[in-house]
Amino acid sequence: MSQLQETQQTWRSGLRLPAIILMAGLVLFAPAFVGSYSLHAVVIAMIFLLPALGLNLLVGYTGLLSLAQGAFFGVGAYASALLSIHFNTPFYVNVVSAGLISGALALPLGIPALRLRATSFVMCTLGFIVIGQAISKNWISLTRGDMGLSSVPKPYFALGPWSFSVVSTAAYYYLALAVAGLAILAFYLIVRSPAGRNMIAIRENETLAEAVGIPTWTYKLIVFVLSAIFAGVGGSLYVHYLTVVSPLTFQMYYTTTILIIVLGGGVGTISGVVFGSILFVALSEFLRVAPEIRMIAYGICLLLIVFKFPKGFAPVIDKVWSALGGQRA
Amino acid sequence: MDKSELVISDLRAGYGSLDILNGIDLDVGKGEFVALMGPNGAGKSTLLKTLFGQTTIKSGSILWQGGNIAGLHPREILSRGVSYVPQGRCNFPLMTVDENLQVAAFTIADDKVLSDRDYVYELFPALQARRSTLAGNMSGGEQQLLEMAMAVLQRPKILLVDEPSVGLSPTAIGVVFEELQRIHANGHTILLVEQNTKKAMAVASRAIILRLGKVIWDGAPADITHDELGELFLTGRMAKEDASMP
Repeated sequence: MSQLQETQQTWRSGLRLPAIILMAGLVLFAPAFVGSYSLHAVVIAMIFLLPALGLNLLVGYTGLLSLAQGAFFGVGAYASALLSIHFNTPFYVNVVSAGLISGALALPLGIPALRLRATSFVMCTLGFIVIGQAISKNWISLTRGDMGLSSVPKPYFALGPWSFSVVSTAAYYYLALAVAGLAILAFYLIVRSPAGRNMIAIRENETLAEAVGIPTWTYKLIVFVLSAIFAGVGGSLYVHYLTVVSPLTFQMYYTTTILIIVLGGGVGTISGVVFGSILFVALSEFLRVAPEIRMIAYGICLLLIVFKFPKGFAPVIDKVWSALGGQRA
Repeated sequence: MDKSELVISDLRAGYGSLDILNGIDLDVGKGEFVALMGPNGAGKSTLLKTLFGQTTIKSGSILWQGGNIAGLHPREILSRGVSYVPQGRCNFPLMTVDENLQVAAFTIADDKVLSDRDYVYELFPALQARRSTLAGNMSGGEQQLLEMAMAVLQRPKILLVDEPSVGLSPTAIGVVFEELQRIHANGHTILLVEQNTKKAMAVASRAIILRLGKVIWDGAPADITHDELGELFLTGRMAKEDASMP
């Protein structure tokens, strides 16, 4: 190795810590220097990160492609809205209940669905969204049908005599950041556990996983329920932010956005999905400058990304990280 | 030969309505190294799959250590000490050797995993050097060793190995067979399906030949020449038997 390369490497190897501090600073103080509209986009991105992490668990770690994330997102949103409207429950009760209700619903749906393989499973999960939309439209006494539920209270916290509401976008940013951070931590703990390793084994070779004694079906059911819990929590976060929810939540738009974040960001990675959620939501919001061609431009961007980064952004992030650590990527 | 551990009687099995095994009768004694041979379509691989609960059994019984395991779930069969190494590449390619072994140790109590892994690395020194390598990045021969190691890790009383030589270079085949002998010498019973008859006959203590889903020959490898083996494969009979026939 030449002298120059060595010097460069020593110089670069010290860049990881500053990079982390810079990133942490950006994340913590974003509301101070980011415009309110951009901040709104970031909040939406962090909300979408939740169902995306759930889907990542399914696709990236057990090899199951599900379109039902949008449905569980919607269920979480409705559950949270109904609870807070009818019972005036604090935010943490709503968010936990939304996750649990989505997860509880995923259990009976997953039992028959997971008997199916590959494409049949995908079709079945597509059915869940259609059913979700039909119920939200037609159970008018509960959901008010197409009118949807409006004036969903902003999140409020109550602890003994103290209570406060999260009203401003900046405050909501921190709330979403905390929930997203916890979700990332939960995701990390799940995939790094021995159970996570068994999940990857199922993705890699299900027959072999079965042959070494892993109860593959039970694993897939648990992951399906976990993914729904992630989606339900995301739905809750979403409805308290926008304060409205309607059958439109069950539109394919939500499911495709979640899919794009995971598949375009980097299946089976955390960094790729985090980056994907920011990028794809930001891209979608940015393209609002040209409403007539917005979806066409979005589609073209997707095509370019797929051709340029067929494995998502995770490999790029890894390269940058290695370079910051002084290793040649 | 010790007392028979595995006794298969009139076993008929196949895939759905298609029968491949048409009444198999055979037994394997404790500590034996049996080579199952036969022409394509004889039902060799199907027999191993059937023993491991992966086919549809029509009739017959598979007594393993006195209990009938016919029709049990693979997990249950595994828990009774029967391990299976399927044909072709069958590992977790995007996991390291170490991780592959950890997953394979699923059925082993946590406190024993480490000592068992050390035992396997001792048995497969070639793998120890590659423990942090992704399985998919290793050569075919190394992957085959890994797959056998994964099966050995499950502490099997009998190891069912399906054509370990497929797709390997002659050198790699040599290593794989040496390893099989070593596993056998460590006290494991082996039932090996193999197309490479020369290699199989050289290492096995007993040869069983299948044809059209039935056992047509059973004996010591020394009792049959390669020409006779070829004859059996093609016609199902031996030339000298023909001569004695009326």
